[in-house]
Amino acid sequence: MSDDVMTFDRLVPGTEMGRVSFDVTPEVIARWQAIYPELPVPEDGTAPPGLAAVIAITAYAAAVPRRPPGNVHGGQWFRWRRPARVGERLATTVRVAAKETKGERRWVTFETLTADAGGRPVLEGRMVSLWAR
Amino acid sequence: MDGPVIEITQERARRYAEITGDFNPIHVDEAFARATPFGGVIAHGMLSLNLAWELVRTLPGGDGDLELDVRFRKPVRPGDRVRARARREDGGWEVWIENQAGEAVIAGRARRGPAR
Repeated sequence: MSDDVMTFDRLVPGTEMGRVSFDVTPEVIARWQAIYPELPVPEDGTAPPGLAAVIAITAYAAAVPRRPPGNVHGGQWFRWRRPARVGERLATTVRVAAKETKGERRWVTFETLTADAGGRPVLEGRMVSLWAR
Repeated sequence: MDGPVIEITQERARRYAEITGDFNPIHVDEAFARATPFGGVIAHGMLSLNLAWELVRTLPGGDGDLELDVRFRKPVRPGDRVRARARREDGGWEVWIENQAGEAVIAGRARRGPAR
């Protein structure tokens, strides 16, 4: 495996890993709805709250691109400060918040902060992952 | 309160991987996943978590922030049938995702209300 893999040892708490834009387009909503055709989507121009996963994980996947295969998502916290609106552009900053080992297990906590075009917070997130190596 | 039951399928997992860019082989590569302690592919945890969001957004509790804090406790596998459940507790709601065996595969808390 390539040495470029972002191993546990290379993750430094406090490091900002990147800032990733996300457009809440009707196409994104349609693709989300296609995953859950039996669930309704809001009809008031707001995005479904479950889209938090797409916004945060898209940013995380782009900002931390060479993750070791086999990581496992252990916990997740989200707080919507307001609903995302279809048609708006958001930007998410991804940061390594903490890491620790417990026995043989390596745990990493990432924080995501998603803001609107005016820089106002829309969605906050904290993800805890079991890091494969 | 209970949400609807859905079946977690490889098709949903594939679409979820495509929309998020999360192609972790533990979710999409059976050969890789079989060699892990899980013994086979497991669904992205957030794929099931969406059911909690759908339930939470219908819960009473006022305007303002919508908050969800969960732990992924057990793997969800293709073919599993899951639903979200919630019950009132002090300051919010206890929420969990339950599989067809009645096991809480995801569990945590939700809160709706003014920003704190």
